[in-house]
Amino acid sequence: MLINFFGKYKSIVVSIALFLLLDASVLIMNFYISFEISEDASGINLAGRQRMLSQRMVKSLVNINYYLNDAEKQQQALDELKSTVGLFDLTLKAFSNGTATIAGDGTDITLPRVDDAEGREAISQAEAIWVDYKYQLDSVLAVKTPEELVSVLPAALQYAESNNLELLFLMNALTGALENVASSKATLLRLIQTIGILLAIVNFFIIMFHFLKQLRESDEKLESARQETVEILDTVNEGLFLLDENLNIGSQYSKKMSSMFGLNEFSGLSFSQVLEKTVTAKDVETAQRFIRLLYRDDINSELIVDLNPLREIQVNISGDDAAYVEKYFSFNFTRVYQDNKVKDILVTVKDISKEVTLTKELEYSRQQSQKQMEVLTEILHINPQTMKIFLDNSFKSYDRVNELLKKPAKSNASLKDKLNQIAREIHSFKGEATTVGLSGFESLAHELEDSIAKLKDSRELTGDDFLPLVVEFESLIRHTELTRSLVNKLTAFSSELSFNDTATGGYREHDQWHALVKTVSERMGKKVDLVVSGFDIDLPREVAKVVNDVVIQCIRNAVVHGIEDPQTRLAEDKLERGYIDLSLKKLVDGSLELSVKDDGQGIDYEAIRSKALAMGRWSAVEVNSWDYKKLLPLIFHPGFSTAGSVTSDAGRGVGMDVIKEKVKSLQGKIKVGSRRGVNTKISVVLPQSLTENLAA
Amino acid sequence: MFEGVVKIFVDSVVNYFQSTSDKNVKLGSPYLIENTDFTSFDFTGMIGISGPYRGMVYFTAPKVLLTHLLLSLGEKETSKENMLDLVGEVANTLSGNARAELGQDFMISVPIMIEGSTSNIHLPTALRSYVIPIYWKAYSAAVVVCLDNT
Amino acid sequence: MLKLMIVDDSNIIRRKIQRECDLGVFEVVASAKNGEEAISLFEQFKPQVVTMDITMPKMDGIECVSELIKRDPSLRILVVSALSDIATGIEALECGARGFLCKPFTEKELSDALLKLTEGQHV
Repeated sequence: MLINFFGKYKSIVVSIALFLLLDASVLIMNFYISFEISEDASGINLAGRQRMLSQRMVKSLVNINYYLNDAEKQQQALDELKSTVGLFDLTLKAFSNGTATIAGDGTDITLPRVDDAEGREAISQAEAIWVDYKYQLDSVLAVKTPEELVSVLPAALQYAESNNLELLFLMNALTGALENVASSKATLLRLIQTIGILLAIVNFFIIMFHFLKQLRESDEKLESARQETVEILDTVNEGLFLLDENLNIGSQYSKKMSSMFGLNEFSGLSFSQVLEKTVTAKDVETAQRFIRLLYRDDINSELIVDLNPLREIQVNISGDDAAYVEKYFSFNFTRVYQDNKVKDILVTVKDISKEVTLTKELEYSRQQSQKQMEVLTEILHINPQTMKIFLDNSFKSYDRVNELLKKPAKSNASLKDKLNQIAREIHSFKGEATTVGLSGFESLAHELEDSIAKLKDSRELTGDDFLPLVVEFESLIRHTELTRSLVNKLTAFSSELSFNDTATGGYREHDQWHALVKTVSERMGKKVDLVVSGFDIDLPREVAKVVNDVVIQCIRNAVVHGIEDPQTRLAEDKLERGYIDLSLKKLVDGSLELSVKDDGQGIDYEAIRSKALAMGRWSAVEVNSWDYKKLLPLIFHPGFSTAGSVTSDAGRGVGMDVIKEKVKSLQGKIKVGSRRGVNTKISVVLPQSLTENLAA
Repeated sequence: MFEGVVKIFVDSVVNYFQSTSDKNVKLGSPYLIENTDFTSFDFTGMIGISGPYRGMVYFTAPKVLLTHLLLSLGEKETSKENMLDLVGEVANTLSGNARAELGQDFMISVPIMIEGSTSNIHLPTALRSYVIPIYWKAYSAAVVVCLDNT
Repeated sequence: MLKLMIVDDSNIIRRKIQRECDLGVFEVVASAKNGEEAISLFEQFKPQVVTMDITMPKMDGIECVSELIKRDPSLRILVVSALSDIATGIEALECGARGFLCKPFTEKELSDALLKLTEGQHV
């Protein structure tokens, strides 16, 4: 456990321990030797005292002799001699055998036995002298009477005189020897201290170099790890960041985040600050609650994956304009543990727009085909011609309803009147649906009638009361469009199998137009279906002639310029076969509307611009400044055509300007509408008078 | 639901007009237009919507209406900038109300302002738009709701 | 064996859970069809593990979770509910439940969830 705790610091711990051990041993040695030296010092003192004592003994002897007639002073000298001899003897024995003696301050002290050769020699010589000397001195000290003293004193004095110098010399030698021992110990101590310090310095440098190197290496490792992290964060194709317990974003996050969330700096921001512009307030709140659950360690994170509100979330990244880009992100939250505690949450954000859009499209087309199946079963048992007529009439009826809705009406009375007219229109539509046997249409119309009935009951009508009705009306239109596209497909299918549409109306140009579309499209390598509706209106000959001209020019243009070749269409997710909707109908105000609509590529304004430039009639600056409103009329300009090369079908540019003139001659108007990549609709409106004349 | 959403937009524009000196604002019956082209008057303020329905909502008005509206608000300077400012103001109201009422489930973009008709508008995939005419004084403006609600 | 209680207003779901949690680890000691019943059965049988529906008549799942946790904070509750509203699921967890299983579930999903829920509790 402890070893684990030290881990990579093991060697530095060992080095420091070694350092301490070294210091401690130097300290112990120091202490021990210092102790010895202090012991030696007292030895030296005592050896010095022996010198003094030897001299005092001689002095005492001389005094005893001198004061032979003064008993008191003689006794004093004798006492002194006695203590001096005892002390000298005791101390000499102490040096020789390592026994106790009395120190200067009167305490007992045990001396180490002198083992040094020089000292030993001095001691043994001194002992040899001292044996006789002591004998002499003891005999002096043992006398009882003055007479006795006089008899022994001369011998002692003589011995002292002849040996005193030798003894002093020997004690001097002992002192010197002891001093030598002590000084050699002091030298040893210094040596040990020096070696100790040297070792400590060496150890220090080893630690320094070794660990500096290790530190540098680990720093390098860290740096390269950091570098790797940065590289990963810079290149990874997902948003990556850490959230702390307060749901704040950590300092490191992937570069992708910026483009995903449209922010430049994330560090220190709270999770909600990043999300608030991206997802709804409700989702932000739910997400925060979900993340807090992840910080609870009694919950197994795998058991709450289903509760992640951001697992597949529609996001809104605000772009430059208000236009909306549909995007989906998937947020994944993973716990990051430290010491068995959840420390952070790692968040991974993936852009799953493609996957989701694909799934949605699949789901949508599945729903569509289910709807289509329902519609199909309904229309299959209905005569195709009846169906076509019904659809034509439906759209006409819808146009009338929409026109009614559009008509300005502010007062209650005018709104009521409007409602009644719409009710009549819808009622007759419902009747038609019933007659034909289209129960789907019938029930939709019925619902609409119910809504109208509700409105009729209200006393005061305002414009927005119509809103629910318009919503239902719109879904009825959508249902009809779905039906028409199915019918068109079926028609195309049957014409592929060369089943001719037998029951046609009175307007024989149809065949000619179909033939034209067939010839031109085959020549252009395109596949195009033409659907004609509403030409059962009787027209004066000159009007019919213009209509025919317009139709021919427009469907030719549609095939040549509008409809793309099959490959392009497929690549653009369109049906392989292009589709031209040709219709003629009478509007509410009695005017006649001819419309040619194709689901091709729409008008290419840039192609018009290039052509205009190529014509050289206008300056480049002028042409480049034109917007689409200015460019569009050019297609009616004499000699203008945008087809790449001149073919018999288009590119001669004799068409549209002639058409314009013809329509103008009948006081008619041409309108062009187009959505790039989606469709083009050319409609020609001829005034009411033309048909009224006929009726008159 | 869809109706309710449309109603929020219409109501917020009506409320805006009712805050002017001439409170007499009327709504026409809504009608449909095909999204072949961007249909507008002289000035338009628009917001983008995403969520259960996606697309855009815009308020569009002719110059003359805006001139009178500016005057009724006490603004004598009827410059182009002020016109744009005004439709922007209405769009802001649209955006604000939409946020307050739908913010829980919808994302509402910051409004943008457009002068004239432009082909640069990215029309949503919805096939048709709802036009709700607004009558004020002798003029008419409109709220156009173009949302994909399939 | 861990004592388990099933709380769900649907008879079919109760039987389905009962069938599928027969793993030799759990012993189904009680099954309640609403929150109130769950509380009284809890007092009687003292289960250690509970599967809990959210939408139920009389006391709903959220309240029931709170009540049960008040009585036994160590109780392991697995919320088993349809994922119509994530926020409600989160609320149940905030009240003390420890896991969430989305309806409809497979046999394996249920047993996996129950085993994860009771990790470290098996003898």
